[in-house]
Amino acid sequence: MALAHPLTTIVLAPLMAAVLIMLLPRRALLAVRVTAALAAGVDLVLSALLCWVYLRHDLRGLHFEDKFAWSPVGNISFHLAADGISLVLVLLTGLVIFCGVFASWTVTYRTKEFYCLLLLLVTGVFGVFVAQDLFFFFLFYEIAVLPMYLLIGIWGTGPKEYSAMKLTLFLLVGSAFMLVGLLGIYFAADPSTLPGGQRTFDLVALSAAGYPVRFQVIAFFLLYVGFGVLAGIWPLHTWSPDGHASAPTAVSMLHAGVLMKLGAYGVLRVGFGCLPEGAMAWVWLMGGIAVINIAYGAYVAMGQTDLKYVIAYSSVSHMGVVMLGLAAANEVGINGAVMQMFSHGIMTGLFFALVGLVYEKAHTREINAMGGFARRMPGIALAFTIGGLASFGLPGTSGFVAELLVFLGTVKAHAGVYAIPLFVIYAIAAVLAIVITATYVLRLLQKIFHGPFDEARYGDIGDARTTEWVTLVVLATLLLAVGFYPAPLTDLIGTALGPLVP
Amino acid sequence: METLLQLRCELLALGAALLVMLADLVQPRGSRRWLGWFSGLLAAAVLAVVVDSWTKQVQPARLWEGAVTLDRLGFFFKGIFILGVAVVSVASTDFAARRFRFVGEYYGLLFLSATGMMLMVSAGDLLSLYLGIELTTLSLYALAAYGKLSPRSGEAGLKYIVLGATASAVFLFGASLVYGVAGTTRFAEIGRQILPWTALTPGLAAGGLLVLAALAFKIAAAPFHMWAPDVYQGAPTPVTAFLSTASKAAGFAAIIRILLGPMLGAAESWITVVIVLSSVSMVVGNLIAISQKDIKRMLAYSGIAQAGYALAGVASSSEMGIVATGFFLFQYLFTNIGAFLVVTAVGSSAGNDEIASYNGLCRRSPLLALAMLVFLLSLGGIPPLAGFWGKLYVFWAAAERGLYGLVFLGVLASVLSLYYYLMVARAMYIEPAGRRPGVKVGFALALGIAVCALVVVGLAYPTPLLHFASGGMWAMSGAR
Repeated sequence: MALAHPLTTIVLAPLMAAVLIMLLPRRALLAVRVTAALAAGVDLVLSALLCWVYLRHDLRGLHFEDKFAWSPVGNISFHLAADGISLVLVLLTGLVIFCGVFASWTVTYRTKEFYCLLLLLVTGVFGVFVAQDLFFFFLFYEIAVLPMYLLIGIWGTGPKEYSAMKLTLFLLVGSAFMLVGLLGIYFAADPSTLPGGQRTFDLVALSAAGYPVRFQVIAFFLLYVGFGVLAGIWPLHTWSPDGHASAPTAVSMLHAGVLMKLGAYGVLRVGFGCLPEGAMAWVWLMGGIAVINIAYGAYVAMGQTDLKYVIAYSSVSHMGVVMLGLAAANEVGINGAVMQMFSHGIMTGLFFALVGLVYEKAHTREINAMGGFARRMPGIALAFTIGGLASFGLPGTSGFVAELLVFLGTVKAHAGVYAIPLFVIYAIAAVLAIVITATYVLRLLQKIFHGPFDEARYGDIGDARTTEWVTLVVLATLLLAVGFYPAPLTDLIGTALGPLVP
Repeated sequence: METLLQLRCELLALGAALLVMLADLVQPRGSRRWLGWFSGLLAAAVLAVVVDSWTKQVQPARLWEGAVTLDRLGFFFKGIFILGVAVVSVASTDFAARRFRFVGEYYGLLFLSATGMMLMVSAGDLLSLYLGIELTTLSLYALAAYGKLSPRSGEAGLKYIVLGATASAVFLFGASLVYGVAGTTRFAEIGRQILPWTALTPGLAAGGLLVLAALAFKIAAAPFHMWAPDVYQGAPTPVTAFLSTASKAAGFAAIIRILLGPMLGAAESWITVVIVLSSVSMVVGNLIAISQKDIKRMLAYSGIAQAGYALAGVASSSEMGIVATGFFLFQYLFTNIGAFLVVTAVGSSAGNDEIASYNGLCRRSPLLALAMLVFLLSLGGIPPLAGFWGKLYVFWAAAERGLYGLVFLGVLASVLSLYYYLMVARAMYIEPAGRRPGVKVGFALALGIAVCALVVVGLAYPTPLLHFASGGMWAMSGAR
């Protein structure tokens, strides 16, 4: 059953676990955690298995299809299928939630509810990545976004109510834009060109429908803004640093690591897939804003003294790399963009887990108050260094592969205005901005882990313990492994690019 | 005999009413809790017959020269009524045993009113419709006043009977006008006199309008809604659950029978009236619900708004509209009965129905709070719960007819309604519990709530119900 319908299993396993956890007694903390870990483990193993099968059999296009007519009115069907890009992102989600469950092992306040919401959220994320029906796509998207309000509002730190409300409002406004765009795609498709001669929510049918160019230009802009809010595009990114800084560790990991990718994935799957000409009309803007994201995010990150805000702004910067790769709109660029989604997901997951650990032990997130921690927590310091190096794309880390592909793609992009090679300028600006990233990352490492150690204040701090190692080892190893041998991932992504390159 | 057998659903419901009252005599004293289960069992038996009749009745049939019509739509609605009786009677087992002196008659009246509702939906004649309405409402008047110990309940019964009798009079007056002009009370013959695409004669128009007004009273659509909040608040909560759902569905069934039956040819004339009723109900219901402090009153106003949504399905005056309205009312039955059953549980424990009594319910009784959340979200139309599909279908039908303004208003109203539904959710999940104790829920009541919640969640997959509501137009496989 599970293997006959792997994608349905992946999507529903966290949901089932959430229902099961709800029924467990309040005191059974270990049972709650183990259930969550099991569901996440099943998902991780299954998604890795699917990637392996896909590569092994040299597949292309959508596979592992589950299609089930849902509502005859409106022609909605529960349609899941995955191509290479979906699989890479599903694998990423599986990794981050698996580590996230272990990173929140220490949550003791309303544990049951916490894990329920976390698993519900992850159901939505998996669903978005594999849904091939616009109705379910939107449904899963909202399922992924809405629990965030409670997760930050109840379990967050600092100005949590403010952050939660700000995040929710921004994302809901984004959803409204997106909903209008999606409904437009549904209603503007000419029924006579669709299979069966009637309107459908099926994404595969809609991407083959072909829309008038004027409609595409408007609809793509709506989708770009709508999804862009979640992807953290400047100037709509302001919810993200606040949200990430206030959220509990596992939620930050999921949110920065996976949820922001939903936005970029939506632009790619629905925007590029259904509205290629509309996309080409806006790539100049996407590229420009992406460069601002990279430079502005890095610049602001440099000025932060709160460790979590540094990481949060670095996410804004890295999402700029993703969007730049998409804007390049060629195979190399989009491949790099998806690669960067994977790489940044792992990297930022690792970062937020580390920040959580450091905070738990040192009881502060103030960078200037720390120093010399490498002596007491060598493991954490090592993991942090690996993450940092990946962050500014040192060769041998996954960040290098992703950024290299993105910049190559950008240079090769054709779009220019008035004979100015716009994308070459973008590429140069982005490469220069990476230097800022290197600056703040190295400064961060130096301040926290090196320099004088305050024995009186931090006398009792130590390295990571038992379950905490799971997160660090898995994620840090992956960063290096993908850096040294990226071929499986780039191959997987490459198989899916054909229909998505405008 | 053959003809009578065709009325087996109505007759069985009537028989069940008598049987329950007789069974009450077997054990004159004691708790008599078993009566609730017994009546639930009887309702299940009637339901089985209704489903069987639905399956067999492929083509519509007429009895007694058209005084009674039998078709799949009718059996679908009969299913709704009897399901209402089944859930309410099982769930109110403890409530009835504790609060009511005459337990057998309570269940008997539930069955009697269901019999009336079945007659209403089978009616093919203004007179048989009137008979059905009277049987239904007379039973409901008594039920509303059933909580003899509470003065509110008496007030509710009195208010209901006075206003209900007025509505009845209005109905009769309208019917007599129609008879005077058309010379007949048979729906089919009235329909023959209405020429498509021509304006109604003044007599028919006035008569039809009065009949519609009386039925709008039954479904509590604004501006004929004034009775609802007081009656809902005063009546014993399980009775309110039944009143607000099954009786509303019966009113809709009658409206569909008239407007989409004989009057269909004159759709151009009445569609504006229905659009006005629908939009006023949505606006008034939702706006007033926001300021309510008592949850039963809030649900009453929410029910007015819900009637407005369902009227959008009627306004579409299409096959799809009928299916959508039927679907909507089915899901509303379970959603709203479920919500009122939770209100029953919390009200019995707290002693009042203030929304503040729900503070911190998720800590005190997590499953109860979760069930309530499901019902509230379904009422608010959050996908993928039952209420979402109900709203989607009625608005879809209205949009296919080109009533975009109404659909737009409906969507706006739904968004607005989320505010007050979520206020209750907020009380349950965010407000601190204070010193309020946990809510004890008896097995029967818990079963009722669980069944409602399961149906509301299960209808996230809407196709099977759509199959029944459409009379088999949409096959079970889902593909059209």
